[in-house]
Amino acid sequence: MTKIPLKLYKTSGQWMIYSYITVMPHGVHARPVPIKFLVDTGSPWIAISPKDAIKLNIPILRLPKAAEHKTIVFAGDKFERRLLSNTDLYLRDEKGEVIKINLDSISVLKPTKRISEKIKHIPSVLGCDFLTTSKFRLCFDPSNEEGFLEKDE
Amino acid sequence: MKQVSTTEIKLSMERFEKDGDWFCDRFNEFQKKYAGKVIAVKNQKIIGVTTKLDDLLKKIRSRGEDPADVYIDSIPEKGVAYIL
Repeated sequence: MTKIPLKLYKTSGQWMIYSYITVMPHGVHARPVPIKFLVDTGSPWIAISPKDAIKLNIPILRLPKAAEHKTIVFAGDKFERRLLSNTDLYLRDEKGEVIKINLDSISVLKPTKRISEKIKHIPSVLGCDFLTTSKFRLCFDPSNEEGFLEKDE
Repeated sequence: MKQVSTTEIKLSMERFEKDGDWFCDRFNEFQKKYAGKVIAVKNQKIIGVTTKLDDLLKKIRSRGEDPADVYIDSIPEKGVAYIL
């Protein structure tokens, strides 16, 4: 069994669940960069926020547009869905060991309008495609302040 | 491009998680002081607080730091919560 502890924080009076993941895109001039993701099963995809795209040094304008679901409405703003191909994600298990998950592509949010200051509040999200591809189950038990990902070996 | 070892990734993640946990443990305190701001944390210390993200990135770079190595987070305006 592989178990990845998640972080629970109260930021608006309720528990939210986050994961620290290091992102290593291949094919762009970038290096592995740790990012905090909000675990969001309301999102079909893992998506990198504009703020974190800057941190990752992703050349967002050079990324291809998604063929399907080109536009995302997120936190009241519209974004183009760009695709970052062949990306490694590194997570730490409960023993602190690093686990690598490779995704064929992950979504990157490109604002459709001039970037407003509101984008600084928009987090990167860990969506359903990550769970499907990695085969992790999500356990979120806020009343016991516990959250983790797990899968059978 | 320089190859990065798993050990380096692990150390970088440990540092980032420490800073992230430090920030989140103090979120309520920071919410009172820094509503609407964006904050940079390194080694469990605030190294920059600005209103605009661009200004924070400039501040980080002016210290000779790479934003990739810094924990950056934001505090919503008072009374505002985000539902995604």
